[in-house]
Amino acid sequence: MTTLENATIGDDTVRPTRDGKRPPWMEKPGPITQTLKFIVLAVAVALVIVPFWSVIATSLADQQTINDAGGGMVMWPGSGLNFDSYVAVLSGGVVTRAVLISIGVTLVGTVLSLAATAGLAYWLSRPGALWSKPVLMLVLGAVLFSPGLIPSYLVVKEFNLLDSLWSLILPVLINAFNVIVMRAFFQELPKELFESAAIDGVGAATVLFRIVLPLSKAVLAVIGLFYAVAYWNAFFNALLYIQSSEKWPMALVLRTYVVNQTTIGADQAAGEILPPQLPLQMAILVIAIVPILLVYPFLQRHFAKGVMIGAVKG
Amino acid sequence: MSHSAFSRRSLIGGAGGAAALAMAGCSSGGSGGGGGGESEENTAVLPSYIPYTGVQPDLPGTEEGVDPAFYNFPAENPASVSEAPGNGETLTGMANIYYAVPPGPGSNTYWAGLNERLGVDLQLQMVSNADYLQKFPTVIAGNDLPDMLQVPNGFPPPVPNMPQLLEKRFTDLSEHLSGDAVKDYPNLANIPTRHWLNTVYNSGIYGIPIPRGAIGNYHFIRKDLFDAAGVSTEPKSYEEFVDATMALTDPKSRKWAFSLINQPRQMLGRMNGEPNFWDEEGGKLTHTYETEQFKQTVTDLIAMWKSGVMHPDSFNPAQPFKQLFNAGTVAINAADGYPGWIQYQLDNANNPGFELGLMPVYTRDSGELADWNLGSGFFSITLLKQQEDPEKIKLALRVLNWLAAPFGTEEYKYRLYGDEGVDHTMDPDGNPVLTETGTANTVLPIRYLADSPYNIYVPGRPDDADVQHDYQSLEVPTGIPNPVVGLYSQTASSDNATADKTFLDSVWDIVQERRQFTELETLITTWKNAVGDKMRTEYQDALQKAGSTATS
Amino acid sequence: MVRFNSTREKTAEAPPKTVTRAQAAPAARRPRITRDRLLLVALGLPGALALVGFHYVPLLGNVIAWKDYQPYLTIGESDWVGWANFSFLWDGNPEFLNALWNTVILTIIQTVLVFPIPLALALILNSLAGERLKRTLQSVLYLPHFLSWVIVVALFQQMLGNAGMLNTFLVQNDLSIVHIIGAPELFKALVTSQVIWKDAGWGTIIFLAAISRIDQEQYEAAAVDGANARQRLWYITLPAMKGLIILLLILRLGSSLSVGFEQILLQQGPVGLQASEVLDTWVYNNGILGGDWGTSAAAGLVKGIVGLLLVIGANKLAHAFGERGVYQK
Repeated sequence: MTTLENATIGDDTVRPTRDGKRPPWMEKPGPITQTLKFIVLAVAVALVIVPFWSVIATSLADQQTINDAGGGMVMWPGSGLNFDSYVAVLSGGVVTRAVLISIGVTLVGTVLSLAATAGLAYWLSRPGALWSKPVLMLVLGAVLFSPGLIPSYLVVKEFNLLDSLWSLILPVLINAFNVIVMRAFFQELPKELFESAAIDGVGAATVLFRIVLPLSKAVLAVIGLFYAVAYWNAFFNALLYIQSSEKWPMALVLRTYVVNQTTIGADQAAGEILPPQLPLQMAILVIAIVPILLVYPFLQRHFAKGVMIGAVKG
Repeated sequence: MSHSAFSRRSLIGGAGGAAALAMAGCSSGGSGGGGGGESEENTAVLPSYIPYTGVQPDLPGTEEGVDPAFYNFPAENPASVSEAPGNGETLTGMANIYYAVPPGPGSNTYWAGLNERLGVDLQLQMVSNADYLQKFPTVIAGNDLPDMLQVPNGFPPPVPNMPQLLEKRFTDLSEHLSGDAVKDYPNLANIPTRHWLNTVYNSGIYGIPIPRGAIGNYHFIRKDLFDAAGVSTEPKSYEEFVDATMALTDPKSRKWAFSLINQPRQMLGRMNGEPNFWDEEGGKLTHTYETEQFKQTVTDLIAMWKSGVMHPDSFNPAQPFKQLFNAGTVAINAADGYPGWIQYQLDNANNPGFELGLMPVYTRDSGELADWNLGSGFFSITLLKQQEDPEKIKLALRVLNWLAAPFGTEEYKYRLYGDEGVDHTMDPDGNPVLTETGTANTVLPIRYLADSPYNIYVPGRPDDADVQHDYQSLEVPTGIPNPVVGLYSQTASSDNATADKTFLDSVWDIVQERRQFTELETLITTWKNAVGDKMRTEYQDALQKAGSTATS
Repeated sequence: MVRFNSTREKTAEAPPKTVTRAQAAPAARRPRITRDRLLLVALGLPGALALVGFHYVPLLGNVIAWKDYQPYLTIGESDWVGWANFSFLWDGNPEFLNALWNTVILTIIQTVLVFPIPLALALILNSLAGERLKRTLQSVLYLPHFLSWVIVVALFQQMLGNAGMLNTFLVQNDLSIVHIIGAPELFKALVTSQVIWKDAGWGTIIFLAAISRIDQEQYEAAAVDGANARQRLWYITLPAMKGLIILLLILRLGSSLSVGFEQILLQQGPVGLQASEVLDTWVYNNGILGGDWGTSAAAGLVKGIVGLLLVIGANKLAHAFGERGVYQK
């Protein structure tokens, strides 16, 4: 994430100080503000960390520790710390395969979605563009109205996408909300840019690729992240459209592990097959989160770049 | 999983709940089975019952419904099917799965071996149980039916307009299975008649039942905890029962008697003499909610909640009750599916203190066994879609016949345990023990397409067979059936799930004393107006039509 | 120095210069402009087509709102029932009205509480010195977003449940239990706090991205002029984000009748339907579970129309204040 300190200015050679140094014009906040900020942030962080810590601890605990704690989650794996759950989950082959599928779908989907969204948002952001008003209404309508389950299924079937991994990408290629947000960001770009481009006779495509996109790294990174997370976490389309279990993405496998345990009612004769133990569920949860956590730091750098003052000045 | 796009798509357009859970929807539908239909007569002739005799149990079953029991896996495994059902055709199926999905046939030797033995390329769509209610109508609507389709489990099946659905899209199997026609499929003939009741619609047999024992549920207990508290595992009166629960409870050390409100509700219901959902007398039906016994049960539950013997989260349907039972946090796990016996033993194999027991239920004050509620007899039924080529139906039936191979046969052994050395090893007593590979590979949900009748068998623990068989022999004879098993009511399959949930939610409010007990009367009236009277009429009509026509 | 603010009305119209220049060399310009305009369309066409194909074509399926749809019949074969599926709007169905009431209350609470929190967090994070600290904090804060509701509910249960960590701690120290989960009067607070916990950190991302675009020189110049931190916040940061905030608010209004589905469904059991039923769960409990697809479609359409009206209204309001809003005339 960017800070005022390291926003680029001008031609990138003048870079203010990073990592803890305040720029000279920024005064040090007073002690009350400092304390308040500290408290707020500390509380927020603690509220997040504690349950996650518990998830990780439970995934490493053995059944005895869990029993002693009453059958629920634990805060400390205790003496029975083991990696058995992770081994069990990863050695089956099913989870590993699902992770690979998810990675593939996420990468391809995010790239395609970003491209399509950027194109659409760019078109709709240009004042006076052809048909842009009705299409904008279309996009807005997509935010407000969602199609039902069965009609969506029928459409996907008609497009011959059943049991294809493309059914996890194409139906959700465009997220209308993202289009509108990206359009808003594009609209904030200074008019002067486009004017100079028009004067220089630069075409729309070149403007997009050479001017708009390089200056929009922040919003591209953000929307890209939104799409990536959506693709990674999506299980519902897989549930509906994927027929062979070999093509299941990670999120659906995770769901099978976790949700069944909690929703088997007492009156269902569900005792036939071993439900997963709690550590196993937690292990698979951790596995599902890790890849995304690895990606975000890379994206954060791009938030820093993308301030476009220099381009206008230069 | 709540990115804006996803959660918005869920229901705005209508027909679909995002990420839905089939929570109470499945089996809280208070009553009714799946039989009958709109036609004038319900005169389907059920398949003859021709029991398989190739493998003899150590403890025999009874006609009433006590399951046969085996101490060890039979040493001799005769083949029950003489030739492979198929000849290289592709056969598709869809069933629910409760656990992780197994590897596909490419990396699953068990599945590949299964295909070989069946002589078909079996392609299975596996859907997690929680989502099955969403997927099922979608598949129907898409008209992309697999050859064999499992109906969502539940009693009654939570499928509205079932008779019309079956007529339009699925095959009437009467010509293949009625009466002695079933002799072509001896393993299907091995399924006792009472399980077939729920497959009859529109005067035809529309599916293969997945049999479940008459006992339905066990009341599991942690015998070790009972012994530690010095409490008898067979309280013979209401007072003794209450005393037992108090002795088992100690909130400071996180111990309670019950973890889910439905459990004491079931036990008290039996104790107070409630009917098994419906009471039938001379063709007239009364629902348990309408009885005085039900009011007594509610009164008892209020007292029980107040006394603190129930886990504080007992009203949360998502309570992980199995884990709590395993951990010893609760001592009683009542009204849980009886196949859970094996599961609990395996879960706690490493816990030396764990001792699993079963608790019979006695009446309030007579010192005699209370009436047992017999189960519906089935988990789900498997439908065969309409095929242009009748040979495909026969192929599917032959495959299902193979899958329904009786306990102890060669086919059964493979179906459950796979290849020796790869999927299982044999222990000194001749019991197959699944290896890690086997555990992962054999969870194919074919047992929800066809299954043999249940046999009591706990590998490595022959005494458990005695315990269970004794318990069943004790309780099943006192069993009262649910009179609507085998009958169909449209309201029961569609509106009842929600109405029942609403009703019970309010009753639980009364139990927690958030509402007055006097409101119960109003709630019952509301329930009757919403669904109760309609169900009664529909069931009574169906009862009349089924009448004295022989259904067995 | 370029000033960024959201009120771009003044500069939205092309300044006269360009027009005269264009007029100055019309012959050479026009073919380029036309081709250029088509090129613009071509850039956006793939996305638009995807939207139409996979979103609008299925939307046609909402015609089942006027039919008695059965999955074993095609949409065409199902019978027309006129407005019967919409009857919940006017037949005084108490469950529907209760659900509507809960939905409205929840959406107000969530807009008032849940919306400003990510903004406030973003501003706090932004004001910190230390790049690494900021990045780490942000990474930590958005972690809960990745958990599904099933997990989040289970976690809350474990922490705050009647036999959860908090209460066990209290019991073991001879204090009385606090009933949080399962208390109907606390349900809305519980649900809202879950939403905050799960998504507040995530919500900071978009605000921080907007802040990142602010020209730092403005801050420098303002500080030199004697503006303190609060004034810089008020006169530079917030105005720069005004457009985005308003946009997000308007879009939020559009989906104001959706306040969570799976999250609420998972927790209805312990508190009862009176306190917990919202429109989406009502549709599910009555529509889907009972196979009443027509009513679900009808309810979805109603939600969409209400959202549309709210968006149009809010957008007009934004225009009245000189803001750009979501769309302009």
